[in-house]
Amino acid sequence: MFRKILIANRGEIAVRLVRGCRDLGIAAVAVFSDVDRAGLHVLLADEAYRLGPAPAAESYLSIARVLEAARASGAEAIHPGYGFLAENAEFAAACRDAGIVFIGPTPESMAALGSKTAARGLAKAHNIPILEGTVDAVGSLAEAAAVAARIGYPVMLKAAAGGGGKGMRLVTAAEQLESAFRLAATEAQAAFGDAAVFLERAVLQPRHVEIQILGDQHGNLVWLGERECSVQRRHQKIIEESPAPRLSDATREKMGAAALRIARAAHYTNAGTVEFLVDGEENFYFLEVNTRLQVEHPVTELVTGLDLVQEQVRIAAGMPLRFTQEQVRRRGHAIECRVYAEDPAANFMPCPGKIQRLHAPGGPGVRDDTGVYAGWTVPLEYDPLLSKLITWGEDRGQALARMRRALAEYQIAGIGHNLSFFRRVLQDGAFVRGEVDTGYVARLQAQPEAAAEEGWEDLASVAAAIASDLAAAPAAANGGGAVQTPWQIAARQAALR
Amino acid sequence: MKYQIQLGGATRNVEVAGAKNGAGGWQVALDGKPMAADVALVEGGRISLLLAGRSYTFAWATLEKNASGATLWLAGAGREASAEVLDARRLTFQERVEQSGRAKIKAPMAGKVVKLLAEAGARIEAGQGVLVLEAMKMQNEVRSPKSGALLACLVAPGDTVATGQLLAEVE
Repeated sequence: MFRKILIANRGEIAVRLVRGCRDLGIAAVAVFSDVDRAGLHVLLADEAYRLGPAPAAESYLSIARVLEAARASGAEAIHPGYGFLAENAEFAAACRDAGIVFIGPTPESMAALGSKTAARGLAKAHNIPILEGTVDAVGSLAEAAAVAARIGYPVMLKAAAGGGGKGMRLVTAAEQLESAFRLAATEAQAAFGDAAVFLERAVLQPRHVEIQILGDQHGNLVWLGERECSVQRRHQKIIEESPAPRLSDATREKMGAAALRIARAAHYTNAGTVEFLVDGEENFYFLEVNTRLQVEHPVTELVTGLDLVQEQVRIAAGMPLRFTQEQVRRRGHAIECRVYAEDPAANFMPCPGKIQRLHAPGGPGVRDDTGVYAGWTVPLEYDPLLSKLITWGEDRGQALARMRRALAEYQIAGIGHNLSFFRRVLQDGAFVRGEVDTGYVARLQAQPEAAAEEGWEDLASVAAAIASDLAAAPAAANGGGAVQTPWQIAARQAALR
Repeated sequence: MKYQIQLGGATRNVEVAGAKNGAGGWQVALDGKPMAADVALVEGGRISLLLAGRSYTFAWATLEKNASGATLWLAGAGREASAEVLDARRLTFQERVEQSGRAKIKAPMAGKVVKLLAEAGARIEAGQGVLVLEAMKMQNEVRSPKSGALLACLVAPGDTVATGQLLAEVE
C-alpha cells in the first residue's frame, strides 16, 4: 500500500480525497494555486505544495508542475479527482513514465473511451444500444445534412472530445443545422482543442441514468447500481439519486450488464461511470464513459456502504476487489444536492465572493462534503461548487424528508447560492413523485414560484433590525463574554492563576 | 433604535430596544405592533430569536455599508434574502431630505425591471408603487417612500438592476 498520495485537485473533492487517504493511514499531499493557499484542502492535508498562479492552465492543469510537486513530496501515487487532469490520458501516461501510480484507469483504456465517437464505436461493436447517428465525427456540413435527413429531426450535435454540455446543440429543423454545426464545432474547439463533432438522433426529454463500475487489475469487474441524474441546468447535473425512481429492476439489470460489457471491452480498471439516456419506454442508449470518480459518487457510497475512494486506492495498489458482484448489497435511498455559488434567478450564473457566515446541517442520514468555510473567498477562476449535501434514508421518502430538513438548516450568508432552488425542488409535486427528465428544471422555472411563507419577511425584518442594533454596538452585545477576543480571554485567565 | 427595513420590495419600520448586554428580553415593534422577543447571540453573526415561544435562528452578513445605511444578507428559518437597513440617525437625516427635497428609490434586491407603474413627472403618494421588480421569479412592487413628483425613472422594463442601484427619484 502507498505511504503518500498527491491529490491533484482543489475544492470539495480534494477535501474528500484527503479524508479518504487519512482513513487508510496514508499521508495526503495537497497542491494549490495562489488563490487557494488557504483552501480547506490545504488546511486538512499533511503536506501542501504551490503549483502556480490562479489560472488553471498554470496550476491544476499543468502536468509538469503537478509531477514536480509529486517528486518534491515523494508521493508514490496521484489521485486526480474529477475535472482538471482526471480524464487526460497524456497525464496518466506521464505519471507512468515518471514512475508514479495514477489512481484511475490505464491511459489505453482512457484513450479507448475518452472520445465519445471512439466509445460509441466500441459500444456498437459490443452490441450495446446507441442512438442512431454517425459513429465517427462528421466531416462536413453536407455529410451532417445527409445523416440528419436519413435519421430524421430532431438531432443532437455533440463534441467528440466533449463533456459538461459544451459543444452540444439540439437541432430541430434542417434550416438550423448550418449555424448549429458551426457553433458546436467552434465551442468544441475552444473547450477541448478539438473541433470534431458527431451527430445522433435526439431523444426529447430523456432521463439520464448512469451505472457505477469498479474493476481491479486482475480482471474482476462489478457494477454498483445506478444514479438518476436527470435534474440538470445548462446540461450539468445538480441533483442525483440512487436508486433511480420509476426504473424497473429488469431495465436496471440490463443496463448494469451493458456497462460491464463495454468496460470489459476497454480492459477497464478502477472506478468509472457508464452514462445512458433512457426514454419514456425505458429503452436505454449508451452515451459515454466517464473514466474517473464522479462528483456524485457519495450517492453510491451511501447505498452500497462502500468507500469508493478507498476502493480506488486499493485497486491502484494492485489489490484484488474484496467482494464479488453477488456480495454487492444496496440498501435504502440516497440523494445529493450540489450547492453552488450561483444565482438560480439569473440562469444559474456563478456568483463567487466571500462567505461570511456558514452553518452546515447535520444529524441522522446527512453528509455534507464541503470544500469551504466561513471567511473563505470563493475564487472566480474555478467551478463554484461549494459543497455536496447528501442524505440517506431507508426509502426515498425518508431520504427526501432528511434532505428537506438539512436544506432548512443550511445557512450560507454573504454570497448568492442555490439552496433556495433545492428547497423549492424538494417541495415540488412532480419531483416528489419521481417524475424527472432533463427538461425538469426548465419546466419548474417556468412555473410561478409559490409565495413566501406567511410572515417570513416580517420575521426577517425583525432579525435585520436586531442584527443592526447588535452590530452598531458590538461591546453592548457582549452577553456571556462571547464577543471577547481570544487575547482578552487569555489575559483574564492568566490574571486568575 | 428605530430602523427602516426594505426587504422583498416592502418597507417595514422596526423599533427595537435591547437588554443592556444584548442578550435576553427585547422590546420590538413591527410597524407599530409591539412584540416581545428573547434574543441570544449564538456566535458572531448568528442570533437566536424566541418569538411567542417559536424558535428561529438567523445568520447575517453585512454586504455593503453606504451613506444611507447598510445592506444585510439574512439566512434563517429556511430562507434567505438581502435587506436594506436604514438606522434612526440616518433615517432622521433622510426624513429631513424628504421634507426638503429629493428621495432616492433604490433597488431592494438584484432583479429585472418588469414594468413601470408611474411615469416621470407624475404625482405619486407615499407608499404608491413606482415599478415592479422581478427577482427569484417573484414580482415585487417597489414603492415610493414619500409623496411628491416622480422626477425621473432611471430604468426601463427589461433592465437588470443590482442591489442598491438607484431606480428613481421623487421630489
